[in-house]
Amino acid sequence: MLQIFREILAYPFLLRAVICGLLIALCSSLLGVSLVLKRYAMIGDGLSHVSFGALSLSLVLGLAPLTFAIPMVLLASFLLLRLSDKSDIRGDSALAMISSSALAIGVIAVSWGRGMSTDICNYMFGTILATTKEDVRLTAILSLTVISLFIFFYNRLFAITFDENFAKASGSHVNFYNMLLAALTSVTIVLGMRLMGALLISALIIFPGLSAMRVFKSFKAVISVSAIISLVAFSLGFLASYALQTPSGASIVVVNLLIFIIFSLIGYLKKSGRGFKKQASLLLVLGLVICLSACRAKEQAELPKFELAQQTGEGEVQKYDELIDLVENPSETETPTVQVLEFQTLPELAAGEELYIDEKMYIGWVLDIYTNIDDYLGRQVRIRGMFQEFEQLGEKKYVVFRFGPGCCGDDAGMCGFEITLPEDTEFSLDSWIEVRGVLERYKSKDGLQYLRIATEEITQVEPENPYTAHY
Amino acid sequence: MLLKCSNLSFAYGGRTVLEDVNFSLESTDYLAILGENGSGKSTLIKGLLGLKTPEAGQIDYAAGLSAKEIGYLPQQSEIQRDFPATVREIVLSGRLNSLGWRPFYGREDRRKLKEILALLKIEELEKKSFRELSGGQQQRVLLARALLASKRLLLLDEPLAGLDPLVAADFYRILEEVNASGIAVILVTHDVAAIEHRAKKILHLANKQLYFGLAEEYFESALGRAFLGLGEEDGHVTNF
Repeated sequence: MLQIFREILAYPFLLRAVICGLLIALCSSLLGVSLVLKRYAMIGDGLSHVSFGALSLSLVLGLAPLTFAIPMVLLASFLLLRLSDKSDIRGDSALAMISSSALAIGVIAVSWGRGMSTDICNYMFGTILATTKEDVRLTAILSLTVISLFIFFYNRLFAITFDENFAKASGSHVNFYNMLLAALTSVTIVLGMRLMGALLISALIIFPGLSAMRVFKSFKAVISVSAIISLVAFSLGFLASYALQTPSGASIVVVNLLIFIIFSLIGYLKKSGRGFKKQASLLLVLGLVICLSACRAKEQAELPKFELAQQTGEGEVQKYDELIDLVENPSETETPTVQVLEFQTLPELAAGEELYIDEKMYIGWVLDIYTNIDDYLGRQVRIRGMFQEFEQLGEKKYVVFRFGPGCCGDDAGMCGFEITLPEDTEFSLDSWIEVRGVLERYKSKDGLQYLRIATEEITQVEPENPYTAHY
Repeated sequence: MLLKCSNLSFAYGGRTVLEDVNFSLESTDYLAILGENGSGKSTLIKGLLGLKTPEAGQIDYAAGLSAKEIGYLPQQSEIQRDFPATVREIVLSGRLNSLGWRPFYGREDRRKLKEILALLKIEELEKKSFRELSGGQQQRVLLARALLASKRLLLLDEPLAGLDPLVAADFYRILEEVNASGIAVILVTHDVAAIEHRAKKILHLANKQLYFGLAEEYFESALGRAFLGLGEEDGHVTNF
C-alpha cells in the first residue's frame, strides 16, 4: 500500500487532487453533522446540482468556473433557505424543483458549448484531472476559511442545530448562522464538485456524520470522528481507485458506505450490550482487512488477456468498442517505471530531468501538461504513441497520440502532442513511435500559440500495450 | 415592570388565533398562562420571545431587558430527542447569550454550569448522552439550560406534560426557588390544580383574554372554579 501511496505522490496532478480532496473531505464532514441533524441533508444534494448548472454555464460563457459558480450557488442556497422557511411550496419540493432545473440548464449549456463531451461526464461523476495550481490555492484558502469559521462559531452552530428556537429566544442571530451554514456548504460543494462529481458530492457531506452518529454520543465526538472518517474514507477510496482503476469519486462513496455499515453494526452491538467492545474492535479490524485484501486481491488477480490491436498494412487501428472494458496488465506497466519526482515543488526540483509520460497515467499527464502549461514548458519529455500527420494552412503538422475513451466510453478521442519531425525521418501513419524532446510554445500561421514537442530523438517502436483504457 | 402587552393579536396565515391580549409583568412575578389546547398559549409565548411577529398591538419590554436575559424551555415536541450530545454540551448552550464575541466557553461558564447541575441534582448526568435519558431527566436538562440563560425572565411552555407527579413537584419547587431569587417566571400549563397555590398571577386565554389578575382572585372567581372543575356554572368556557 505504501508503494501505491508513493506512486500517487509522484504524479503532480494526483498529488494536487489528494490535497484538494482531503481539505474538501474535512470541510464537508464538519458541516455534514449539522446539516444532517437539522434535516438539511437534501440541500447539499440540491446545491450540487445547482453547482453543476453554474459550472456548465461558466464554461459556455467563458467565465472562470469557480469565481462564477460560487456566487451562483451561494445565491441558490439563500433562496432555498428562504423558500423552506417562508413559502407555500414545501422545502423538499422546492429543492427538487431547483435542483432539476439547474441540472437541465447545465446540460443544455454543455451541449451548446462543446457538444456532450468529456466535461459533462467529469462534472457528473468527478475527475481528478485538470486541476490547476490556481485551483489548489483557491481550494486551500477557501476550505481553511470554512474550517476556521466552523471552529470559531462551533458553539453557536451547535446551539442552532440542537434547538433553533431556544437559540433565537436567547438572543442569537439564528438566521445569520443558518445563512453561514448554507454559505459554507455552498463553497464546499462547489470546490468538491469537480473532484467528486455533482451526483456524488452530497455523499461526502452526509455519510461521515451519519456513521459517527451510529456510535458516538457527544456532539464534539461526533464532529471529530466524522472528520476522521471522512479523511480515512477519502484516502482509502483514492488509493483503491488508483490500485483498482475505478473512478475516484465513486470509490470514495463506496468506502464511506462500507464504513457506515460497519459503524451501524457497532452501534447495534453497543445497544444490545454485553462484550460489545470486543465485538466492535473485531468488526473494525475485519472491515479494514476486507478493504486491504480487496486491494491485494485485485493486484494479484489474473487479469484478462486481450488481443493486441491488429494493425493492417497501413497501420489502420481497428475501432475498439471494448476499449473501456479492458484493464491494464500491471506486469506490462512495470517496464516504464515512473520518474520519482520530489513532491513538494515538483517542477523546480525535477527541472532538467526527463519526464516519461507513462502508460498508466497517459491521459492524466497530457491533460495536466495542457492545464498547467507553464510548469512544463522547456521540460524534456518522452512519450509513446501513434504517428499521424495533417495539414493546417498549407503547413504539414505531425502528432504523437493515443485514442482515449470519451464521455461514457462511446467515443475514442485523440490525446497527445504535436511534434516537430526531423527532415530525414518518415513514418507510416498510425505506426507506433517514441518521441523524446522538449516542450515548447510556438506561434502558428493562424496567429495562435500552440504547444508542441521539439523532437530530439524519434524512433519506431512496438507498442507494449496499444490500449490505454483509464485516466 | 418587566414587560407589557397592549392589544396584542396573532394570526397564522390570515386566521387570527389570539386577539386583544393586555397584561403586564413585574420583575418578581410568577405568571401562569392557562387555557385549553389551541387557545393561543404557545403562540403568545413565541410572541413574547420574538419568534412570532404580532399581527397587531405591541409588546414593550422594560429598558434593558433583551433576549440575552431570557431563558426558554420549549414544548417537548420541539426538541430532537435522539440528538447526539452530552448533557454538559446542551446545558452549556444556555450560556450562549453570555458569550458575546468569545468563540468558546470559559471558566465562569463552567462554574455556572456546575452550580445549575447541583441545583437540579443532575451532576451525575453531566457526561451522559442526552438521547439515553428518561423523559423526566431530559426535561430537567432542558430546564437547566433555560435557567443558565435566564437572568431576568424564564418562560416555560408546558414543561411538565407527561412527567410523573413526583418529578413535577420537584420541578415546581425549583421554579419557586428561581422566582424567589429575583427572576420572573411565565409558565404555560393546563395542569391547573398544581398551579393553584404556586403562581402569583394568572392569564387565562381562549383565543382571547378571559382573565388576567391575581391568582387568589382567579381561583375565587366562577371562571377559575369552572376551569378547576369545581364549579357547575360557566362550564361552557372549558368545553368550547
